[in-house]
Amino acid sequence: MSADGGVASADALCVWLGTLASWRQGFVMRLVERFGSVGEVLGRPPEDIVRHATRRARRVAGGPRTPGAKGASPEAVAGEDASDARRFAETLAAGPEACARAVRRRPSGDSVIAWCDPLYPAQLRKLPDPPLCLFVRGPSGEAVEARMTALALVPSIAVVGTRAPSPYGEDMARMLGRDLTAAGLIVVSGLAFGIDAAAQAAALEAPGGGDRPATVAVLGCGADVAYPRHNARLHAAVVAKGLVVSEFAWGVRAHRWRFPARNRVMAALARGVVLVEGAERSGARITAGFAVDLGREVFCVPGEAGHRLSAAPHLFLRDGAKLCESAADVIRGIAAGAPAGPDAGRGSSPSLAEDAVILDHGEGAVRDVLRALQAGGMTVDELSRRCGIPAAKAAAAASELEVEGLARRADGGRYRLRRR
Amino acid sequence: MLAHIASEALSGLQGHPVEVEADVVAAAPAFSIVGLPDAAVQESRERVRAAIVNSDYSFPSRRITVNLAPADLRKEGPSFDLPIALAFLLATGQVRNGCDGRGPLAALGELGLDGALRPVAGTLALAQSLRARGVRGVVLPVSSAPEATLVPGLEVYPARSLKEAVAQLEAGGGITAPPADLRALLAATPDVSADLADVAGQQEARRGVEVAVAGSHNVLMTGPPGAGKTMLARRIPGIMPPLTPDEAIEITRIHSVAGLLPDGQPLVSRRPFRAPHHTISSPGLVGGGGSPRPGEVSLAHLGVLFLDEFPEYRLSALEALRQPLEDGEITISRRLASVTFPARLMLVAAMNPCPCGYLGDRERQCACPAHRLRQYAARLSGPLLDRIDLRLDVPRVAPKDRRFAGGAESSAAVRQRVIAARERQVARLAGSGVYANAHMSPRDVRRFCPLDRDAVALLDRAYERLRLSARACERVIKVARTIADLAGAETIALEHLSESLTYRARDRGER
Repeated sequence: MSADGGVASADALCVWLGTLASWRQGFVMRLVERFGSVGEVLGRPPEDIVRHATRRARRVAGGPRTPGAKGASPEAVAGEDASDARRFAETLAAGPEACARAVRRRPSGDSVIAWCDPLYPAQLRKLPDPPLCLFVRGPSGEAVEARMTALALVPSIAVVGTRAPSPYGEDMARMLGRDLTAAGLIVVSGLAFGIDAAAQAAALEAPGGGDRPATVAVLGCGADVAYPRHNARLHAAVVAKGLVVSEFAWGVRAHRWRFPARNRVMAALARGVVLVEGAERSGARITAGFAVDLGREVFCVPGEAGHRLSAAPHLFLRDGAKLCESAADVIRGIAAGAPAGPDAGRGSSPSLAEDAVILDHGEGAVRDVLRALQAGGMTVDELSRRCGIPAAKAAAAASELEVEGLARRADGGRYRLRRR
Repeated sequence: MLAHIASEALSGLQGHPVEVEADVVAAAPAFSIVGLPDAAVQESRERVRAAIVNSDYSFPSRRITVNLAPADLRKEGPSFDLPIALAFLLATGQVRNGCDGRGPLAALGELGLDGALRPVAGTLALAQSLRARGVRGVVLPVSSAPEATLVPGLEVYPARSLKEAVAQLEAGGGITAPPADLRALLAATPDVSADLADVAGQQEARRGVEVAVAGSHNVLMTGPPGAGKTMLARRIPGIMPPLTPDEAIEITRIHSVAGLLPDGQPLVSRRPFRAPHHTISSPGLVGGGGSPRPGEVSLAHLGVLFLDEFPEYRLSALEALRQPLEDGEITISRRLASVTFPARLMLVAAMNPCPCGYLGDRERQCACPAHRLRQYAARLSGPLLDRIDLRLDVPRVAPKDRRFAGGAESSAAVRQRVIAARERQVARLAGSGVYANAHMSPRDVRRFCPLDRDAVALLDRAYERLRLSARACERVIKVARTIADLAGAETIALEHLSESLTYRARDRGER
């Protein structure tokens, strides 16, 4: 119950409800279902909402737990659930004004942008259950404001994919991250291992400028939480040069159900989604699925036929997603789909044309091996058979190519050509 | 009356002279053993008493004192039964020593209650040190005799029982066992147990193994379960050069001390292949115990130590491996003894690419979370990995590819090349204290590894592009030296160096 008694401002109400949603799956969606629309929800007195929310909370607490939680011990899960329930109850008891004051009392780079704030991204309003507030971390308050404004103007592209990519997938993600950013777009991703990290790290290094954030990370935990911890340095770099965005309150830990929720925000925020590599069941597929539902463009980087990481992209390609071999494909695709924003490069930037790999180099065995590798990744044994040379010679040739930066060796001992 | 018999105690691999003295006086009946005996030696009183009575000698009711000199050396094990019994029989005048004027005989052996003699662990080492201190001959159990006959110049008098031992002693050496013909023993055993011709496909791994053996480089194989890592490893001893007689004796000594010699086989005539399970403790791996015993690294001396599931070994065991890998021997210090065992072995380690085994596999999905991958790789410390020159990927061979594999080369053919390459190394490294490329010091590398111009250029580019550390560079050059030796080249050329680069360690972040 509101400690201040009086009428809560819409802004505080948004922040309060948005914060509460951090610990209850589908919280906003249920309120919207109950009251009709976000506008209706915000028009209600907090007491009504509380009555509805707490009734619901009891039912959830007594009901069966969401299945899964693989890897975590039952005690750990129970402990986490209990702490979530405690924070939910505390926020509920604090009421809108006190809660809003509490979440805003942060270092200057940490901002909370409510649903009714003009900085709130318009793309998100179309979601059936939009985040009622966004927790955003940037280098400073002014920078967050400027970059959020740029995010509304410049088209953004989500680059998503598996956490354990093949070298080819990683190369493609890096290339797309760099070239899309260089072409004036904003790369959005989830800062996970693999494709996400590769695309965002490349985006940070690409030439950019002005108020445009170098890249935007959408997290499934609090924006101030570096998860996975291994990417802490990348997280800090994104905070410095881009934005870290989350619909979950400060300090909220990563949990299974928060990732699909995060994926829906990512899909809604972006003009298009590029799916690089993903297994049949994967978060990347979920993101692309949301993108289809929201009418966003889906681009897929093709993979090797039958490879398990090709499953998700090929599934969408079969259903009519656009093929993506380079950033130019994405730029053309969104330009055709909708009027592009002011900064979006029409046509292709000069670097986009030359993404072919070098096809001719060296002589003798080195050249034979290079040609053989154009048919796909191969082990030394396969190269030796294909080129008709002893394994020792094939290995020697392949490692010469590696030193020249033309090939690389991946897990499982396969050599592959390197993308530029 | 006083009598004494020479014997020998074992500490590590070394024998130490022990004089067994027996004194019998008319006093209150007692039988005591002094001179730092351990529990097994104390119990020897009961065995000796029963054996003497059951061999139809008498055990008089006198005060009997047995001293094992020197008194400050700890005596262990049951091998003093026979010398104690003989000294006792001499002291009580039931037996006459027939050695007068011909040099004394030593005695070794464990007694059964019926007077039968049982074999002694470490016979070879004991016999060698007996010979070294000028003992003429030794009376010992029949089953230990073949081992002792490996020592040239030592007269070996086998006995089945206490009675026969007494007969040998009274005769001053009666029936001797003929000295063993070491070369014949070595030649009689086929030294290839499993042939490389059985390994289908895996051309790259076969080649890598050949290079590793040729330069005695340690090797780490990575591949999914069932790819054939163990199969390859088991075939490594078969492509190593045949044992020389001296090497066979060295190995036999260690195996004999560990009590691992099979019955009826006095000589280890094949290179050892040791594959301890990954639950092994660090004393089990490198040796240890109150009175130190050789561990797996020493049992693998001059052969192969195969560690499958390499990251699963205890961290303490893996770290303990570093010293023997570096020094070729392991020194174990305990309260009462510090002993050194040789451990010049080739380490062959194998691991899965990730805990579930399917990282990088085309057909199956790796189920490992990313942090587990990191932990798995991090279990192997840098200093340990620095001792491993070659990394091999052993991918799974699909059945259809196995059909293509065709006639694979036999171990004998590969071994010929290995022998030739080793000979080149031995000739080149003569005088530098090492015998194979893997053991070259940084100075040796500079001295013995000339690179031609193209190779230097490639190395410079690799250093820069692949971000090789100085140490990694050195390993690459050593392996290239071996590849050149296999090719019969004195200067390392481009193709040798580039092949060597494929066997280098790759960290996961390398681009």
